[in-house]
Amino acid sequence: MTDKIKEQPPVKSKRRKKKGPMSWIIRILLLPFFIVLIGFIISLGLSALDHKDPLDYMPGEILGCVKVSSVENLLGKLLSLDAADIMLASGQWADIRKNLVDLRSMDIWANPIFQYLIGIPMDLGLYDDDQILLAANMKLSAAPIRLALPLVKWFNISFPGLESKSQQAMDYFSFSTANPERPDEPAQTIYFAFKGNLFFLSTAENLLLTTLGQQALSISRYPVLNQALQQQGTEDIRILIKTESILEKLEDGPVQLKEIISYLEFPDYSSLAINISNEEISLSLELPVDSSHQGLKELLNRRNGAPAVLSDLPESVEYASIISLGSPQELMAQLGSLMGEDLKIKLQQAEQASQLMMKMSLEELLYSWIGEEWGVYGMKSYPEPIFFLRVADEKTRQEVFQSIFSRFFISQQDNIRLEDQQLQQMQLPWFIQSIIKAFKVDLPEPYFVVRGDFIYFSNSAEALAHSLSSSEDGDLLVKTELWDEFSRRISPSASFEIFYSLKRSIPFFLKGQGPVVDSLKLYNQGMATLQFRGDNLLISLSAMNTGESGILAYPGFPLERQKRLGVKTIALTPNGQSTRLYWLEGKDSLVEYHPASGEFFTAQLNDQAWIMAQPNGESLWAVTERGAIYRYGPKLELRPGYPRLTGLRISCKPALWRDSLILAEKEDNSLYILKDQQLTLLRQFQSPVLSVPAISQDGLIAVYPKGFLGELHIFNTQGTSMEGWPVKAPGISYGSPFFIPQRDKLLLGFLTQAGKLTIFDGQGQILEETDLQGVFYQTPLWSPVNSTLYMLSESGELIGWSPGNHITRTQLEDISGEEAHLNLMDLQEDGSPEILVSRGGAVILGFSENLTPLDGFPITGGQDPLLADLNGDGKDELITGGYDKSLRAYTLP
Amino acid sequence: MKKIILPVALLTILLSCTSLQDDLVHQSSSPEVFLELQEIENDLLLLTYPQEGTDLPNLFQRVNETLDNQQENSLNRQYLANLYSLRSWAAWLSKDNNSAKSWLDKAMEQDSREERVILVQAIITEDIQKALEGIEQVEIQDFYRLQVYKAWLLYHLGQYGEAVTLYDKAFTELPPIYGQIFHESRDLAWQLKDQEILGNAVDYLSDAPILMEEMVKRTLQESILLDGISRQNGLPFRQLYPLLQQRGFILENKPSQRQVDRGDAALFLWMLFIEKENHPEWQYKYSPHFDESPIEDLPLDSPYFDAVLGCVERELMSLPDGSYFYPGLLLSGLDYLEMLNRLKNY
Repeated sequence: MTDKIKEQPPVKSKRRKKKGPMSWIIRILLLPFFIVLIGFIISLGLSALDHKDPLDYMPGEILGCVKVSSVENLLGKLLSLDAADIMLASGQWADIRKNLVDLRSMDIWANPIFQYLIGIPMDLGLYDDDQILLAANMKLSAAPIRLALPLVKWFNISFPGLESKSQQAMDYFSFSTANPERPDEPAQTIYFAFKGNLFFLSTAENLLLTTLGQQALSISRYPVLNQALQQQGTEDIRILIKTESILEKLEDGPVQLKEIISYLEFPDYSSLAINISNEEISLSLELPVDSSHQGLKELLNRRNGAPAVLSDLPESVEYASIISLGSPQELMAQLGSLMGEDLKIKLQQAEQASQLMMKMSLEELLYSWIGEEWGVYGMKSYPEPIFFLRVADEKTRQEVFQSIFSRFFISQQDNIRLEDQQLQQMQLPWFIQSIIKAFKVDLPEPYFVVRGDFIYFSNSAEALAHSLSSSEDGDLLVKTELWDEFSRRISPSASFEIFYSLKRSIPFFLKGQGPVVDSLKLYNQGMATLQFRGDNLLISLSAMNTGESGILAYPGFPLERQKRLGVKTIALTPNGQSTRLYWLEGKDSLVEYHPASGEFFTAQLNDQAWIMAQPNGESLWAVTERGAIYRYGPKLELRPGYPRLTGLRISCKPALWRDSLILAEKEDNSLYILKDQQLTLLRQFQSPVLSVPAISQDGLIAVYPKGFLGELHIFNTQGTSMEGWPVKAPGISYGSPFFIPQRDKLLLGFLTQAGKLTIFDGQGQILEETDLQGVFYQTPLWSPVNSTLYMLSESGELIGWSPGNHITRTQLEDISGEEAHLNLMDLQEDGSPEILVSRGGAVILGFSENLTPLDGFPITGGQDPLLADLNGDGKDELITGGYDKSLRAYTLP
Repeated sequence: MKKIILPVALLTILLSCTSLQDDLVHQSSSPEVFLELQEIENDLLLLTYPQEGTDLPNLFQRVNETLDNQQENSLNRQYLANLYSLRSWAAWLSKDNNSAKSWLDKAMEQDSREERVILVQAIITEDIQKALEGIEQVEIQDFYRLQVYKAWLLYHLGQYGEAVTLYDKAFTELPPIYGQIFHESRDLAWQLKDQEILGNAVDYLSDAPILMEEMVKRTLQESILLDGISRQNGLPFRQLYPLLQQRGFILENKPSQRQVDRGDAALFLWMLFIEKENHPEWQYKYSPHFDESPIEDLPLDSPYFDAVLGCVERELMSLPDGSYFYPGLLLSGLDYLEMLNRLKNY
């Protein structure tokens, strides 16, 4: 008998899984990552809890301070700012300009992590001896740095120029730009340190140590400074500057303003808020002000409403200056003692004359009826300005005028009607003229009219009539969009107000020269006000760039030279470097120019020459007619082994292919190749090669030795002819043969002087022949984008030819077609070529690929143009030399 | 009542008409009056720089009549400044310098910033250098008339590159008459801008054909190409010229007072070239290789045949239309200078 064995369910054995070596390896590999992660979390926590304020460390004895709300926001704006290029165009800013150009070229700005890291506030202090201290609170961005710093120390990680230092138990770094290979070159050293979330950087080691050790009274201990810097606004930059440096700017202002300011008391520092972009700039300066002069004190306590005249100004106003400080009566009473001697004397004389001739005092003659507002404005298309005075008492004014005109020596012309406006004209007495001349106003025989509360004067009846008609028709300045824009930014309630357009007038604060003034002029339309607000004086400026668009002169150009420029300018922009320009001057000078830094370098050649750029931008070649070959690196430093004196007499511009030069010799009609500094004879011909050889991408060379029995040759760089070549040239020509790149076949074109265009295949067989009906002196240009050949006839006809004999033509006027050259460039960066015509006159003409004229052309210049990025902003500028020894550059729309 | 009202109404109307008479009614200066000023300016330009076929007396009369018809009672200072400056210009053309100055002063009183005022001030300043200094005091970026006049002054001072730069930009902004009147000086400036001239540039400003004698003398002056034959300019011209004929530089049947044609120039230049390159065997380099002439108006047996082919191949001269040489066409001094400079630079 078999016992039934009850099947037991299988027992799950609790076997422990053996941990294999792989899992240990993985754990060991992951361990550092977890350590770093934990370290990072701790750093984050420390950064979050760190509330140190840079102002607790920065020494308080500053000359000035700049506060930036977000470095990323500000740098982003500054790097793309046109005004920066203008401001830095002059030679004194060359170093900063170069840094700006280099910064613009860096790719890191587009990196979102970098943008986050620099999206922090920053304070920049300026101290004695031009020492600078930068302080930033990096907040949470400091977390990775907290972690990285110890690692840098432990592993002794080093970078060229970077040195870790320690003094008085304070750790910091120095970074030097010194190049051990070039000890003569000036170097700069900066010092920086991290303290918790705070980052400090200085040009002076002592200043940094003082800051880190809190060895001087910090800014936070100076209540006024601290308060000014603690103010948070929406501005891009807040600058704290010594008040006296602002007041110096008002030196050229109205005399009365200068006088008044001399009696005011300002604090040591003033705070200036700036917002800036390419479209607009706004400045706002608020400063506490006081005066011991009673009259001024009363003036300061006035509250101004918007000047009434604003509601009457016509929309065509291009500039206006409005003063509403008070009536002359009030001002004489309050400020009479502040008048300058010159004005006092004039007023005394005027008083005497008024008594004698008019039997009235000046008080009765003028002050009794003139109100609080007066000023001047000018309108578009009317060069003469209009002056206005507010009439406080019209009855008195009429009585005074009647009395004036009753005198035999004051003439009043009959009423004049113009544009339905009734005007009168008077001849102002000499003593009145002398008063107003003190204010630089010339009104010998003004037309005048009283309208509403104002009396208007002008030398131009037409201007006056137009102004009044416009106002009556309701065409007012205050209804315009421009006014709307300004009044949203600045309140028109002011004691002193200037509305300006630089096309018509330059306000006093924009007069003169200087980089700041030049860059402010970019914002061609603006409004500036001065308001008294009790204990505060508020100066505001809002200006907009409503200027021209299109092709405009680039700042810092034209460059005026002493000698005639060569026909070609070349630009080299090697990777990561700023652009360098090259051209020939006079008979035998080569010039290199760095637009970023404004530096020039010159080299002497041994004869007239041609210059060519290595395609990778690595070097510049110059070949003289005497056969000397120069190869230059940056700053016109000769490459080793150059110059190479070949003894050849070069007959035409050499061709450059990769690192090889193809040279045509006129003595024995030969063609040579210079490769690896070895000169090798390629071919010899029956007649000289007078036009530059063409070279295909594969290194095939096409040559036309000019002659009535001339032939067209194609051969390789070893001198071996292609099968089927040479072929007889269809006629004599001034140009070269040219390759027409096709994907799977070789095509060669040739244009004779008599206008016969022939296209050959790779075996020398004629594919197409066309008679273009003209005389031609230049080699045509092939555009692969639209498969079109462009050429210019001697009579100035611009022709576009496509295979299949499709022809478009346009006639150019006043052009020397014999000398003119065509240049294909993509100005609009849309992939289609534009055609620029150079050397046909002292202008460059521009056409689209369909031969329609381009907007903005012609432009002054004339030599062969080129495109190059001069300021590192990623956009090309157009550069062309002129026949007046000037090199010009233009920004493109 | 009605009997009273009517006379009263009539009286009122009469009186109001009378008071209206006291008002001087003016019209604004319309754009048309400025166009008229432009017409006057065009005529004054033609009078100042007479073109061939211009009827000067009639033109002068027209200018004066048109000026007299202008609105001197205008209230527009800009218009008056322009008008008075044109009157000044007209007076200067009639050699009435006092009137010219007087009108100019009036113009400046109206508006001294107007372009025409500054222009006329420069025109009546007869000294070229002073006129140029006056213009350079002013910002002329948007003043194209002044740019043209400055270009004309620079042209006369020999600054051809600068002159042509100002001309070409200004012409694109001005009425066509400016281009018509100044094209000659502009074209000459364009031609001269790159030329090396050792002698007097004024010699080349005429487009009259040069003589054989001048061709030889200009070559002696502007180059060293004849130094060997002329013994460094020591040989008197009356001996040099026949020597050149003997040596084949000049045809025997060409006296020194004959005008130079393109064939003569080709022969002369070719002989200078082979002398310079030291290849006397090139004198008849081409004729043995041709059965027929490749140039339609130059037969194989022409005395100029080899010279022309040589000059054209070396781009010292060209075929003006790509096919014909035009050997009989006369040359100006400037034409010859350009060819000589090409030879010097070869």
